[in-house]
Amino acid sequence: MDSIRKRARELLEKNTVKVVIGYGVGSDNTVRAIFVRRPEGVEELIFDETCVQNLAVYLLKNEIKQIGKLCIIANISALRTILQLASEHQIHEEELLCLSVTPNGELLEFTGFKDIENYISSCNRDLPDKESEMIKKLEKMSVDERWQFWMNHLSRCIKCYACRSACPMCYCTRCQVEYNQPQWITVEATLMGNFEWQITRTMHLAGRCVNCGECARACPEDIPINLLNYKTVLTVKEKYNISAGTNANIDSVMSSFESDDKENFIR
Amino acid sequence: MEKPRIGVYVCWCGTNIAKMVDVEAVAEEIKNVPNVVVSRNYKYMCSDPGQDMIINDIKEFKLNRIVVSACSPRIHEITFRKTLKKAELNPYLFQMANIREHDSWVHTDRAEATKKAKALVTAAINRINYHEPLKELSVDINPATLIIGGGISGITAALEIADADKKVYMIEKSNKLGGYTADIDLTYPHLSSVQQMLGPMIERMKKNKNIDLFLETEIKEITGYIGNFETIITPKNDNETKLSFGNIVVSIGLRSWDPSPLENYGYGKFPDVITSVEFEKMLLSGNIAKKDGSIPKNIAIIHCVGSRNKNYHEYCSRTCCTVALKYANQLRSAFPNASIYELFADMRTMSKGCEELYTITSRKKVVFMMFDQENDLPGIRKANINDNCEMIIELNEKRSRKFVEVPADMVILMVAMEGREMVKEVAQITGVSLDGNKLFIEKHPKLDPVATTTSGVYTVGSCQGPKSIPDSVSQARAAVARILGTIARGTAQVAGTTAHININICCGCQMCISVCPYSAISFDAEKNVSVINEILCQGCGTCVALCRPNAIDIWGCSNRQMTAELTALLLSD
Ligand SMILES: Cc1cc2nc3c(=O)[nH]c(=O)nc-3n(C[C@H](O)[C@H](O)[C@H](O)COP(=O)(O)OP(=O)(O)OC[C@H]3O[C@@H](n4cnc5c(N)ncnc54)[C@H](O)[C@@H]3O)c2cc1C
Ligand code: SF4
Ligand code: SF4
Ligand code: SF4
Ligand code: SF4
Ligand code: SF4
Repeated sequence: MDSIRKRARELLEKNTVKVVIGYGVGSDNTVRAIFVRRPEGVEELIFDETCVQNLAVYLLKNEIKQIGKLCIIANISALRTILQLASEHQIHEEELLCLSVTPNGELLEFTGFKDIENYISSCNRDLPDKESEMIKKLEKMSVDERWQFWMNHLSRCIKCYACRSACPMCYCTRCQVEYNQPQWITVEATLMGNFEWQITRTMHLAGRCVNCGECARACPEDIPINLLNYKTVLTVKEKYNISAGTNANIDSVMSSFESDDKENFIR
Repeated sequence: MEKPRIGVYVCWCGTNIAKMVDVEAVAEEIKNVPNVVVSRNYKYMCSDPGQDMIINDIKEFKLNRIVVSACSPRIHEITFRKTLKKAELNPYLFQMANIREHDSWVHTDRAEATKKAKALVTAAINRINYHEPLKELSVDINPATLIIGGGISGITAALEIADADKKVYMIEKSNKLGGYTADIDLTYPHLSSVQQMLGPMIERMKKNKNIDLFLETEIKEITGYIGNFETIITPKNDNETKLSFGNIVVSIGLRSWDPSPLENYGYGKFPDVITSVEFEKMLLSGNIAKKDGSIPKNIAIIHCVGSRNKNYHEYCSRTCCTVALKYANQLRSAFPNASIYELFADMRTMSKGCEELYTITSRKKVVFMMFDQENDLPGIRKANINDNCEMIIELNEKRSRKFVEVPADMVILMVAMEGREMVKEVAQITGVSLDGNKLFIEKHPKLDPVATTTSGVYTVGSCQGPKSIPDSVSQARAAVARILGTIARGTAQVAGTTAHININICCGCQMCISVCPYSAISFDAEKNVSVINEILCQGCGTCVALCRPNAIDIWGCSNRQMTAELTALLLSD
């Protein structure tokens, strides 16, 4: 913690960066994102195992981008997000600097995407145990049981789109749900409309989701929608051997093809 | 937008549609659909009287949208767009409903087929409400042509264009012209000399001032679009040269397959198991002999080596059966007393004169034996000393259902033809797609077999699918007819049905760029958005489906139009 504060202060004092995005303590002792712009503000920064939020979601916000070069206190999810966003041409190396702390307390400072790639390749990128087990359980269910599971959950969705706002990959200028001519997805929170929405969201994130879990944490109805995304993470890994957020120049699964594909449908 | 005034024309297609669809009832009922001003039915809408009917109605009833419900747009969309032009209506204010291929031809219940026709026509009307006039771009045509590959196909195309006094740039990777044809001795079915035919063609190539020949040269990149392509080449022992041309012919041929993986046949293990290509060279040199220099007494020719087999190439290599018959004839002339065996899977002698060659060959003491290509291939083993031959071929003869041992001193493997090593690069450079067999895909397999989906690029000869010399030559001449037509017109129209990106929505992820099969999209770094080149874009829609925030739409096939059409179909009973 001290090492992060010290380095953040230096960066702000020397004007190397204009803002540090990090974790602080909010009301009720919850952990929340803070944006430090003055050197003395660094005392509010914390970093420990409670800092799970993926702060990289703020990187693409216009208000933040306008401030200038920034420093982000990044956990593994955020680092992976940064690589994925880089491969989607959304952020550039010179725009940011990342600080992180290893599990044994060592301060890490990344100046380039290559550094991040190297570090990520040595980190555990597996899904959390709890979710892995849930997916295994879902896979074992019959189609009817699985349908029932998702009906129970998605019938509670109120279409607040918090899952979208929390997801760093949902940066679209205009989301698919916001079209009405034609209207792809119904506006009201009806069961089928909720399915339409979540299936669209899942497919839009296939091959891009970095399994940060932010979407599910954001959901006010406690719907485990991250399971849908995590299933695509497993499928993409299994079929194409690609994990999102491991390389700044990754080919997107959904937008790459081989002209001599064996399958006929592509022709 | 002015209020739509729609004319609907239901075609009988003689009896093709009328026998299964009650065309009069369809035309009558359609009159009630909103915005329909005129609805008629007629025997042949594509005939002159049919088209005149549309032209007159446009004038008389001030129609501003036309729906023709007839055959496939692939056949007549262009015809009717021209009709609209004649009536001074924008050609894109037109929509076809296919009630032939999609309806009358595939149904047997007249009442149901009529219902379906009504639904299809209603859908087309719903859609055309949202059609807008589109502009066509016109591009000038540079009269020069680039030909990639100097085999018989490329040579034919080059001479034909040069004889019409137009410029040709011929790019050949190897150090000589002719491709495989340069290695062939006699050609089937008449066993005439190939070199006597090819030699003078190559001489003419070298002498013709309209042809710039670049041997040992490869194309790395081509920029531009129909009428205005460019490339930079580095010919051997020469400086970089920039070439500009209006059309491209791809004629890179195929290569023969290396049969080593097919271990049954022991290629590489037995010195006298050779490929057809190696044997052809032997014929051309006039010296048929075993590796040790002696004369073979027993010769076996094995068909379909690596062709028509899931594990290697699923397709038929098309020329090998007849080439194998040609070899039996040439062998018989060379060795009147040798034993000659043809081991085949199916005898495929489809071209003109080839079945006759089969009959002739069968009268020359050639033994024909059949094997099961899918499940039970023959195998070759070394013979024993007292077998009096080099090798023994073991096979389960399919017709007699007997196990047979065939003696052989020389085995000729009729190897498959497959895509060349560089084929993927050439496909990418020229913007032509490959199928799963690494063969170039034509624009339409039946109606447009030499053009490709990229305007101004043609593929001819065996690179488009294995074929014989006369078939390759026909394709080359067909492509040239198209090219000379384009050059004569001087300009090409580029369809108005292209994709466009809404720059207020595009978030610059650039995924559309990697997915576009025609390399029509590039990135504007300043505005941080992707942009589509209207001339390169073929309106295929791939990028539209990909773009998450829906920043892309296609003129003439917009999301709005598609949903209007689909909604009508889904609401029909
Ligand atoms: C053993 C054998 C016997 C045959 N006998 C007969 C017969 O008797 N009668 C008959 O009608 N047909 C016969 N055929 C078929 C005949 O060979 C083909 O029809 C013919 O070769 C097709 O000509 P092509 O120009 O399309 O291709 P090719 O002959 O393959 O020529 C392609 C040319 O393109 C060049 N090239 C390849 N890649 C590139 C590149 N990237 N850049 C530039 N240049 C490139 C090659 O070097 C070559 O010169 C036979 C085929 C074989 C294999
Ligand atoms: S879908 Fe959920 S888990 Fe995946 S990147 Fe977005 S917020 Fe994270
Ligand atoms: S759900 Fe899809 S369209 Fe909407 S913001 Fe996410 S990625 Fe973009
Ligand atoms: S956050 Fe939860 S309730 Fe809100 S839209 Fe997403 S799934 Fe539905
Ligand atoms: S896919 Fe869509 S958002 Fe992405 S660059 Fe292309 S047009 Fe823009
Ligand atoms: S529609 Fe899109 S993908 Fe298709 S050619 Fe045009 S730009 Fe390329």
